[in-house]
Amino acid sequence: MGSTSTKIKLRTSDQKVFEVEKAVAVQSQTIKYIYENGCPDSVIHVHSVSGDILSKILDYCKKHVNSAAGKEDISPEELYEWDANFVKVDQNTLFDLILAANCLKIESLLDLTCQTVANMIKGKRPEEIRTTFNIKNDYTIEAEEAVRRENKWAFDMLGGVGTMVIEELADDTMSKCVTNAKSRVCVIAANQIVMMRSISKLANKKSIDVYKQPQNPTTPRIKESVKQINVGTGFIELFFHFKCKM
Amino acid sequence: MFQEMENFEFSTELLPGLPEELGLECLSRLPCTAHRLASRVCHRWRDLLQSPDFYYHRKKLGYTQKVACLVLSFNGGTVNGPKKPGVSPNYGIAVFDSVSQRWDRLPVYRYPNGLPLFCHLASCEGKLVVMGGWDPVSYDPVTDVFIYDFMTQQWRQGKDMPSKRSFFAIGACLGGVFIAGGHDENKNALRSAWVYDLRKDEWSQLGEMSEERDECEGVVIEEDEFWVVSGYRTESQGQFDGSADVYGLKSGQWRRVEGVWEPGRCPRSCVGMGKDGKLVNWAELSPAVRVGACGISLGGRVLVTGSGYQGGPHGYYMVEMKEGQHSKLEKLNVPDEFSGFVQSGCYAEI
Repeated sequence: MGSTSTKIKLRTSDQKVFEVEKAVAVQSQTIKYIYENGCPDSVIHVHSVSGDILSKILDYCKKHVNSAAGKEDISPEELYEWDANFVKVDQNTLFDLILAANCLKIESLLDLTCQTVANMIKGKRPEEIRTTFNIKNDYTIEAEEAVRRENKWAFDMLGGVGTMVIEELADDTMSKCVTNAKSRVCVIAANQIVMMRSISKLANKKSIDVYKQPQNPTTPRIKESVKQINVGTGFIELFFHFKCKM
Repeated sequence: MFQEMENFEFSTELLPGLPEELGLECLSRLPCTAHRLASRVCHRWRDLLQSPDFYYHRKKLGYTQKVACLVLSFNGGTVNGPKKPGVSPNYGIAVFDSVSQRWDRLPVYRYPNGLPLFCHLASCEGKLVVMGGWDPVSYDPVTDVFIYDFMTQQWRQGKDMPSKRSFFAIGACLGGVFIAGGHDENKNALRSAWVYDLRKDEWSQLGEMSEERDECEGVVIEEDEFWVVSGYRTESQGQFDGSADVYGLKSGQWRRVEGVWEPGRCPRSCVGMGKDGKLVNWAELSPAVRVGACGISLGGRVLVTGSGYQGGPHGYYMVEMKEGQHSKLEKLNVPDEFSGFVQSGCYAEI
C-alpha cells in the first residue's frame, strides 16, 4: 500500500462518509493525530462538522496540497484568488468554516476565514457592523453623543491662520448629499457645510476640489483646495490647508 | 427547515455565533486604523480594543506593524534652520508606513506654533509620547508630556516632567517611558534618571547613572535594557564620551560599558543596534546622510534621513539590516510636504 494512494475515511456529524487521500486529510492536525495514534483502517469521526462543510473544507485542503506538491499548475496569485472566492459565502457558512477549521486544526484555513471576518468589519461604520453581526448596541444616546464630540478634530492650520473643527460625517448628512447631488459628501465644519466630491477609493489623493457652501444659497460657491486627504475607516477624514475666512 | 442564529437579548459574545476565542481571533486581525470605529460598536469591543492585553496579544501573533514617527519641519527647514530668515521652523509629527509607503501627518495638539524644538519622542503599547523641548517662540524649556493613542487617534496630556531637562535620552518599553541625562536650566549635565508610567500617569525616580551625560542618546534593546549612550560632563562641554550606562529593566540596576561609541561623535538620533550587540552610528552608513542623520529601526529595515553636507537637501533612505550587515541605501521618494528637516524620530508599533 503506497503512501501516496492511502485513503482515509471520514464520517461527519450527519453520517456522511468521505474517502479522501491521506495527504489531503492530514492537512487537519486533528485528523493527522487521530490517524497516527489511532487505528488507521477504521473510519475517523468528525463529530462537530457537517457533510456540507467538510466537503468544502476538503476542496480547500485538496487545492492547497496539490498546489504545494506541484500537481496543479497554479501561481501564488491564482491560489490567493481561489482562496478569496472560496470565502465568498454567506455568514453562517463562514462561521461554520471557522468553527470547523478550529476544531480540525487547519491553521491556514482558520487564518483565511478569520481574516475574512476582520475584513468585513474594516471599513464599516459602527451601525453597519452591529447589523452585520447581530450585536446589541449598549451605548446610550448620551454616550454616543459624547463619543461623537470626543472625535472632533481641531487642526492647526499651516501658517497658524485659524483652527477648524471637523465633525464626523453624520448618517443623515451623507444621505442628504447623495440624493441632492451626484456622489457628493458633506462635512460639517465649523457650522459651515463644506462639500466635496467623493470617490470611494481616495487613498493618498493629493488634492481635491472643495466647495464652500455660502450662507446665501444664491451666491456662487467658493472653491478652496484641500492639500491632503486621508481615507479613514468608512468615512473621510480631512486635513485642510487653506486660509479660512473667519 | 431553517436555522436561526440565537439572538440573546443581553449577549456579551464578541461575535454572536462564535465562541470567545474565535471572536478574538477575528478581532485580532483587524488593522489598527479600523479600531477607532470598531470601539464604538459596543462596550465589550471598546474595552477589548483599548486593553493593553489585546495590544500584546496582537503583537505576539504578529498582527502589529511598525511605523516611523518623525518630528519634522513642515515649512521646509534645513539642518541650519528655517529657509526664510526670522521664521521659526514649524515642527509637526509625520507617520510613515514603509509597507504601504503612505505618509500621514498627526494633528498637533496645544502647540499653535508647532511642537517644542528638540522635543523627545518615544513609543510603546501603540502610543506615542512627546516630552520636553523648548518653546519655539521663547526658547524656554517646557516640561510638557503629551501622549497620542493611535487607536483612538486622540491626544491627552500626561503629568509634567519632574523638572526642566533638555537634550536627554529617552526610551519606552512595557508601559514605561525612561529618561536620563541631559542638562538642567543652568546647563549642568545630569546623571539622574526617571521613568513615567503610562497607565498610572506617574513619575518615579530611578537610580543615578555612573556619570553625567548631556546630549546623550537613549535606545531600548530587546525590551530588556535601556541604553544611555555617550554624552558629556558639565566641565567637558561637547566632548562626547565613548561609554554608555545601561539600565536593566528587570533588575532595576545600572551598569556601565566602555568603548561602545566613537568619542567625539554626537549620538543624537544616530544610535542603532548592530551585530553582536555592537552599536551602530547611522550617520556613518553613507556620506549622503553624514549631516543631521536620524535613523529609525523598523524590524529588518531602517529608515535613515539626513543630508550630505550642512545646509544641503534632506534625503530619505531605506536600508535592509541583516545580522548587522546593511545593504545599499535605497532612496525614497517623499511627498514635498514631508521632505523638511527631520529633527528626531522613533518607531511605533500599532
